[in-house]
Amino acid sequence: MKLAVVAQRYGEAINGGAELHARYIAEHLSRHADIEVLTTCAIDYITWKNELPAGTDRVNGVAVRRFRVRHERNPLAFGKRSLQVFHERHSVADELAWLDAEGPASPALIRYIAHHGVEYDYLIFFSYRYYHAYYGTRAAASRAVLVPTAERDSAIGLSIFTPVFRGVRALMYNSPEECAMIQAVSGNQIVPSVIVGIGSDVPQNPQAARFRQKHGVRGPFAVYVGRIDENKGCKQLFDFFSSYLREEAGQLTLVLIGNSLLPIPGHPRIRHLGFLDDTDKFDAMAAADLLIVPSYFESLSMVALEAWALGRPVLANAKCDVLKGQCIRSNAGLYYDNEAEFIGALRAIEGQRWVSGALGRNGRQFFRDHYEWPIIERKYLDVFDQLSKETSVRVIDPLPGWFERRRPDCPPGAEVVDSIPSGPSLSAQPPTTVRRDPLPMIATGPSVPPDRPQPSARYDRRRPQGRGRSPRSRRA
Amino acid sequence: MSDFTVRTDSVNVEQIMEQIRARIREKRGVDYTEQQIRDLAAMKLETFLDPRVVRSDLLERFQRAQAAQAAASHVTFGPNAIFDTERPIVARIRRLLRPVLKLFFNPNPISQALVRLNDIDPRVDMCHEILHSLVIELTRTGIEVTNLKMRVESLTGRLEFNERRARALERAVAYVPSADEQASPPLTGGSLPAAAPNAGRRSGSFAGGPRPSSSGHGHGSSASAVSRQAPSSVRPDPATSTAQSAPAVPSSSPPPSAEQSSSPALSAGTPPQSAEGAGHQRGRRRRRRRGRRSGGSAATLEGATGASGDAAPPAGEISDHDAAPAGTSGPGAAFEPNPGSADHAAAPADFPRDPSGRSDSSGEP
Repeated sequence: MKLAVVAQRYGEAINGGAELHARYIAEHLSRHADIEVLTTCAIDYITWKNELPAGTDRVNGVAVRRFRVRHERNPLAFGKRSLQVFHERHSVADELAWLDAEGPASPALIRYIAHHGVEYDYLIFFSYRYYHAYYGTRAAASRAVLVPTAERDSAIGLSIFTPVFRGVRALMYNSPEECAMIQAVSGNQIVPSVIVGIGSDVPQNPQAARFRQKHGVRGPFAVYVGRIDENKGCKQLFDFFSSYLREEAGQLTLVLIGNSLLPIPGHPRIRHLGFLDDTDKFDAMAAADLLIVPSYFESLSMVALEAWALGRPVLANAKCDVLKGQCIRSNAGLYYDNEAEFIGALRAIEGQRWVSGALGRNGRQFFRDHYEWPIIERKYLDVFDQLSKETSVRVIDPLPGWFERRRPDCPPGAEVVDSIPSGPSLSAQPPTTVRRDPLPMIATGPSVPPDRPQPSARYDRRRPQGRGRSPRSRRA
Repeated sequence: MSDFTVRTDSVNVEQIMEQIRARIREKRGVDYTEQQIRDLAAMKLETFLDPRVVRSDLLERFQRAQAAQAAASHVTFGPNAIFDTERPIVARIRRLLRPVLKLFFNPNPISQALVRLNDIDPRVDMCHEILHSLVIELTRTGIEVTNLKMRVESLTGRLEFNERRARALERAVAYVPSADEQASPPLTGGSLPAAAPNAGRRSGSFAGGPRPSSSGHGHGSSASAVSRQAPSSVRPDPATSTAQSAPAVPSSSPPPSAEQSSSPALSAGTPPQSAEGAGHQRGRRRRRRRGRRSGGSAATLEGATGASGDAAPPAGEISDHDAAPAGTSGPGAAFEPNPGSADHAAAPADFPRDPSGRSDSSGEP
């Protein structure tokens, strides 16, 4: 079996969530199939500047083919376009212009997919919101498997993505919440899908004492791992933790690992260690009493999974449905909606060892059950196996015509996102299998609670008929 | 494929969160989340507060406008003002043509309106703005007061908790005999071997912890621990024995100093103690009281905390004091004078004298 992994950027030093996800999947699937990665020459996700040479390369034994990006991102123009499509009524042409402004615009990559797509059994596209995924899935719809890595942000409400979600061969979701959200937006319950997530290569014996000795960390501490950014909820984390420190009863120190884009509060019990390598990171997690994940938007928190793999409880931001859902389903983490809950949850973990221990044990088991690499690999291979048994009849709706494309009838993306249901998926039941003859579906799972209205119905009500669809499809 | 299942282990995350929320509600007394409170606060302010029109230099502007108003108030506006001009020829033509003009319309209402406009005080706007700002500030203050009330309630609760905790800790102090004491054979006499004078000071220690159930009365574990070494049948040295019972004097009575307490007659003729000595005595009494409260013997406490290394009270003497009948030694009973007690009666007379005024527990008769 020959597979292509298509990602916006790829490399050993690239540690973005979706990119790392793509690399892990490529490397692990390379044990079962012939894998080639199709990507751009960009390293920086802000500018998409061509920094790596175009052509073929090998990264950790996986073949990589890079294509040049046509133009770098203009942050001002992109910001303006984003404001327009997220907060104002706009047209499909506006959304396409936004996509082009977002990048990485690489027509050469799309041309290659269009011409050589048939050489691969399946092409796994990562990150629905980028240029390569939108045009790439259109170029090879019959072989396209999409890993959306979608978060609950305004981009998911743009109308151009609906045909993509409906037209690919299969979707590999990271979480039930992501699945529910995309199904609510696009009504694509008929598309085969499976909730996979991602594994992690957690070391067997992380050395907690080594970390404490190396960095001079004493006493109990909570750790945050990741980019220290306001978008990741770090500002709120600092505010809340400062309140916790003012209460005087707690003993925890906050240890921050990662590059900082925010000023770190000057307090002896808030320590910033900067960027650490994986060994130190895992040592830190093993030494920590808990991991804090303050992010508002996540499609899957790898760092939370790693903490669970190491038997550490997690304290997550309840505003992120995915994290909250994972905490509840795993019974391995607490969550906070406000400052008081943050402090209360910290105290519960800090003060009651049995709670902390039980949460950690549950987390470890949760990771073993769902996120060990053999399980992840098996899920991918099962999907490919199922797809190989069915004939591809699904196509992506073509873009509307020139006039219709310019009709400003698309609602703002933020408005659409606000209208879809939120909240964690609490259902403990397995996802409902939806079958539609003659296509055997693998597992499609509206993990929306039964009292919620059906996503497709809501989607149809929300959208006027024909919006964002071609005249041909509307006639049909 | 494995699916996501809720694990039925010993913890339930939702239940824990519910408990945390319940505690928060208890503390606050109001079932509002942080977000709700913020929303409420923002909603109240939003009605009034628009940051684009708020002027930080309002007072300055107000004063300036007042001055300008005072200057402008001299300008008069009458019915002829609309026909005025500086050029005499034009003024004359206008005057000639005014009857013709009045044929077409009546300019008087216009003049009157202009006069009234002129009368409108620009300070009204300012006053309105000041009122507006006051309302904002009052609203803000109201919210702040509510928050402070909540905080005071929270602090009060915490203070009460700390007091309870402190009391519990005080009660939990227990005397732990050292290995030497435990290893030594039971005493048969009223005094210890010569090597033991400092034993109580060196080896005796206090450790926090639950009190043994056998020491349900006032003197606690120290009594029981030490009394094992010295049976109550042993007659202790009277001087040191009374030294231990001295703290049983009611706290309201004047505290006897070392000299004063030797005998009433002696106390009358004794010169007043130095300030340092008196302070030291007070400190000692305080320690004794604490010792009583916490169940440890006062002498042992002094032995443990005393600075001088002279002589600690022999263990047997301590035991005699501490092995008081259970009925007379509760946490409260330790402070009550027992008129029937010979020890108590003899306490002022037999209180050991220390010429240096540093220690009353030298053990010397």
